[in-house]
Amino acid sequence: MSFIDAFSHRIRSVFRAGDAARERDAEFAFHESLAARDLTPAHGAGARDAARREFGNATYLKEEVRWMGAMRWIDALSQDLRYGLRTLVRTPLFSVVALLSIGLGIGANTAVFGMIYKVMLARLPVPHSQELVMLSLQDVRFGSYFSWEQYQAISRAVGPNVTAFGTTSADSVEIDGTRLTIDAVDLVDGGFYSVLGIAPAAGRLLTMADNEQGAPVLVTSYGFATRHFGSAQAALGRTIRIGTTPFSIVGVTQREYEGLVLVQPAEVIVPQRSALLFQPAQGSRDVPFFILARTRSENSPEAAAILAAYRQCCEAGGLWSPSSGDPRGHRAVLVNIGHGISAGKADVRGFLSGALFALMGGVVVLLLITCTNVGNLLLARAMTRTREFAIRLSLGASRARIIRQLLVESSLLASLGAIVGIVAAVWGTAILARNLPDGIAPISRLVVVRPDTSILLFTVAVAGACVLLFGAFPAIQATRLDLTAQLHGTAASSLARKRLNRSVVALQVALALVLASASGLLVVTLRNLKSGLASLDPARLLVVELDIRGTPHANAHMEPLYDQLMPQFRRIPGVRSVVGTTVVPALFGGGAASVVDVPGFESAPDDEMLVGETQVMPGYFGAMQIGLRGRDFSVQDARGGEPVAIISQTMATQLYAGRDPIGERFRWRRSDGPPTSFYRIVGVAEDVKYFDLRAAPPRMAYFPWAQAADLDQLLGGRPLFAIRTIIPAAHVVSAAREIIDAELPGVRIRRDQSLSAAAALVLGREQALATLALVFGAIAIALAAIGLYGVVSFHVSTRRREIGVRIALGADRGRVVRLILRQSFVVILVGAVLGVPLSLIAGRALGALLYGIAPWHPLPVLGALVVLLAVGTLAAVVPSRSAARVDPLIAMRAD
Amino acid sequence: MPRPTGEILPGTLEMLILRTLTVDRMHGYAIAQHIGRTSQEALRVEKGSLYPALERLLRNGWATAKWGKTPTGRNARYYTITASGRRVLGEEISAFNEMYAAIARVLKTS
Repeated sequence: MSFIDAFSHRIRSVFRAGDAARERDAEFAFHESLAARDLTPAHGAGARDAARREFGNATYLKEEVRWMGAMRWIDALSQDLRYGLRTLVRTPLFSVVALLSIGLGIGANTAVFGMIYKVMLARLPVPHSQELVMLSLQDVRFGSYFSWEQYQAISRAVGPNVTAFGTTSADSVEIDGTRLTIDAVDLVDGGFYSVLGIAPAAGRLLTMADNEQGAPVLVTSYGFATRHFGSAQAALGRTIRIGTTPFSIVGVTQREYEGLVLVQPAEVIVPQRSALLFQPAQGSRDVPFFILARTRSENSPEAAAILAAYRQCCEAGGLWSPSSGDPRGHRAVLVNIGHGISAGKADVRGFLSGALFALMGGVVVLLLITCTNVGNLLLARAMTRTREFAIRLSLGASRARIIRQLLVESSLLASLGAIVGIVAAVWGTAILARNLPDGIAPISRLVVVRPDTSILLFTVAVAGACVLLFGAFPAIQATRLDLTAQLHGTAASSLARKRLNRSVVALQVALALVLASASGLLVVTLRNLKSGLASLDPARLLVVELDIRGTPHANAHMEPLYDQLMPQFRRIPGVRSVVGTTVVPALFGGGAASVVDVPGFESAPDDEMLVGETQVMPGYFGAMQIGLRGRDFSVQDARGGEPVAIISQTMATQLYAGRDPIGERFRWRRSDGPPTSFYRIVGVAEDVKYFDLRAAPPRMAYFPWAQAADLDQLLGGRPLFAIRTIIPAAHVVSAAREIIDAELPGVRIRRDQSLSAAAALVLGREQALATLALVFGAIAIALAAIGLYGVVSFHVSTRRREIGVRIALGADRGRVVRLILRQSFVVILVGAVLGVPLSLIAGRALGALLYGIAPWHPLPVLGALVVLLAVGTLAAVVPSRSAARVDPLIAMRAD
Repeated sequence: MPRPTGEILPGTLEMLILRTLTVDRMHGYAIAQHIGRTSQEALRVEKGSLYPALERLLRNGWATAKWGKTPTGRNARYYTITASGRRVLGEEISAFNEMYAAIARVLKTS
C-alpha cells in the first residue's frame, strides 16, 4: 500500500530524526567504503580520498537528503528549537536581561490591554448580551433615569419584555448585628432576572411574585456570599438586616455576573416593592431607575413598541412631574448595553478611557524601545556568529534556513517573554489592586488581569510583533555575508550594519523623547490641578464627615450635635479653629445649584443663571484661608435677622459687572413657587474650586449656618466639619476619633483625613498617570542611554587602529574624545529631529487629559531634550575616554 | 552520441532505480553498480543524486528500505520496490518509450 508506506516513512522521519541522521551517516559510510575497495587497484593508498572526492560534498548531500525528509519543517523546527535553547543557556546574562525586559514590556501591555478590555470591550456575562438595551434620553445632563411610576407606565404598554432596576442607599445593612460598610441596595422589578435570562449559583433568583408581595427576601452576589458566609450554598436562608427589617437570602447570582453597571457591583438585591420595608416613608419613590429591554435589532418591533410607549407617556403628561425630572422634550433612544452600563455615580468609561489609551500608548512605545534594544543585542550576537553562518552557507545550507534558525531563536525569546509577561501582569495587577488607595478602590476589579482567551490572544499577537521587531532585522542583516572575506577572516564590519545600529539608537532617542515630554506634560498638569487648592494649605486642614443614620443617634438634631462636638475638637492640641459647613473644596460639590435673580441684570439667553447654594458657619473663610472682602458672617446673622449672603468673585464679576455687589440684593427663583425673599450681600469671597478642579471656578453664594431653614434636612444625617490645624492634619486624626467615639458611640466616621490626602484621591487618575509617565520616561531614557553606550563603544572598538594612528601622529587626547562625542551627538540630534514632531503629536493625543498647559508647549519637549542630552553625553563619555586611552603601539600592532 | 560525462537524463534516474530494483532488493552502492554495468558504463550514477532520488522513492511509497546483512556480514540498507512502485515503473517506461520514439522520428526526418 503505497500511501501507508509513504506515511510510515514520513512519521518515522519526524519522530526518529536522530536515528534517521545516524542511518544516513552509516549508509554513506558503507557506500564510501565499497567505492574505496573498488578503486583501490587504480589509486592505491589515496583510494579513500578519491572515493570521497567522487562522493562529493557529504555535508551538502546530508543537508539535501535531510531537507527532503517528510514533514521536514517539523524536524527542522525541533532542531532549531533545541539549538536556540542551547544558545540561550550558553549566554545566561544576555538571556535573563532580554527575557526580563521583553517580559515586563509585554506584561505592561497585557495589563493595560486587560483594563481597556474590561472597560470597553468585555461583554456582560448574560446570554445574548448584544440584545440588551437601555432607554436613554438624549442631551440630558444628569443621566437617563426614570421614576418607578414612569417605568410602570411604559411597562404596562409594552409588556414583560421591559424591566427596570435602580440603586438606593439604606440607613444600614447588618449581618448578625455587625454593620457592613456597604449601604447600597439594588432594587429590581420582578421580571428583571427573567429578562436577563441568567441562572443562580445557588437557591433561586427574584420573581414577579416576590415583587407583588413586597416580600422580605433578597439575592446577593457570589462575591458577597463567599465573603460573608463562606460559600454561595451557606448563604441561603441566612438573614441580612436592612434598616430594621430582616431579609432572608433566597439566592446567589453566579460568580461572573456582578451586575450591569461598571465598577458598581450589585451585591444586595431586593424586590423594588420591598424597599417600603426599610424606607417606609418613601419606598422607592426617589430612586432613579434604569429601564432595560431586549430587542433583536434597533428597528425591531420590540424597539419600536418601547419608544412608542415612551412618546405616549410624554403626551399623556401628568405622571411626568417636574420633581421627578421632566423627560418631556428629550428624544429617547435605545442604547445597547451589552458591554455594561457606564453611568450611575461615575461614568467610568468616560473617566478612564482617555487615561487608559494614554497608558496604552506609553507601554507600546516602551515595548518598542525594549524591542529595539533587544534587537540590537541580538544583532550584536548574530554578528559574532557570522563566521559560523559563513561556514554553514558555504557548505550548502540555504540562507532562508539560517534566517529561519535566527527567527526561531527570537521567537523562543518572545514566547518565554510572553510567559514572563503574563505572569507579571497577573501578579502585578493583583498586588496593585490590593494596594489601591480608598478613593479609587472600586476600580480594583478593572485592574486585575485574568488570563482569558482574548487577553492571551492579545499577548500572543504582541509577542509575534516583537519577533518581527527585534528578530527580523538581525536575521536578515547577519546572513548578508561576503563568504570569501568571512572565511578568510578579513571581513571588515560592514558599513551598512553600523548605520543600521546607529539609526536604531536614534529611533530609541526619539521614542524616549516622546515619553519624557509626555510625562512632563502630565506632571505639569498634576501640579496645575493641585495648585488650585494650594492657597488653602490643604495639608493642615482636617475634613471630618460622620454618618448618624441607622445608629442610636439617628434622631439627634444637628445644632446640638455641633455644639457638643466643636468645643471638644477645639481643645485638641494643634487645632486652630473648627467650623461646620455643607461644602469642602474639591470634595463636597458646590451645594445645590439654583436659579438666581439679580435685580438690574439681564441674563444672556443661554445662561441658566445657576449659582451654587451653600451654608457655612461664621469663621469658615478664615478657617479655609479664603480671602474675603466686606465682612464675614457673625453670631448676629441669626434666624430672624436680615437674610445675608457672601458671594464668590466669579459671581460678582459675572452678575454684577462694573458694580460693587456689596450692599446689593439677590433672590432665588423657585420652579415650584414664588421667588424667595431677597438676601443682602455683605461680602465677596475669593474663588475656590469646589467640585471639578479642571472647570472654571463656580458661581457660589454662601449663607449663614444659623439662617438655614432646616439644617437637619440639609445635612441628611451626615454632619461635616472642617478643622484648621497648625501642625499637619494627620497628627490630630486619632484625637478627633477618640472624641467622636466618646461623645457619639456607634456613629460611623465616613471620612477623617487631610484635604491634601482627600484631594490626592480625587486626583488619583492624574497622579497615577503622571507617576507612571515619569517612570516610563525614565526607563525609556535609560534604555536609550544604554543603546547609545553600546553604539559608541562598538564604534570605538572598530576604530582603535585609526585612533592609535591619530594619537601616534600627535592628535591630543581631548581631540579624540571630542571626535567620539561628536558621533554620539549626531545620533542624539537625529533622534531629536525625529522625536520633536512625534512628541507634539503625542501631546496632542493627550489633549483632554491636560490642564493649564498647551499640548504644544515647548517646555516639556525642551526639558526632555536637555535631560536626554545630559544622559546621552554621560553614556558616550565613558567609551570615548577609553578611546583616548588607546595606546598607539598596541593598537597598531593588533592587526 | 555517447555522453562522455555519463550523465543521466533528468527525471529518468528514478525509473532506472525502480527498474533495477525489480531484479532484486539492493543497497545503494549495488544499485549504482548495476546501472553502470548494464549500461556498459555509459551511464554513471552520481552518489549525490542517487540518495536524494532514493529518498524521493521512499517518500512516495514506491520503495521501502530495511537494514540487513551483506553476504560478507556488513550492515547495509536494502531497498525493495513496492507494488505501487511497479505500477509507476510500468507507466514511466511506456511514457518514456513513446517519448523516445517521438524524438527518434524527429531526428530521422530532419
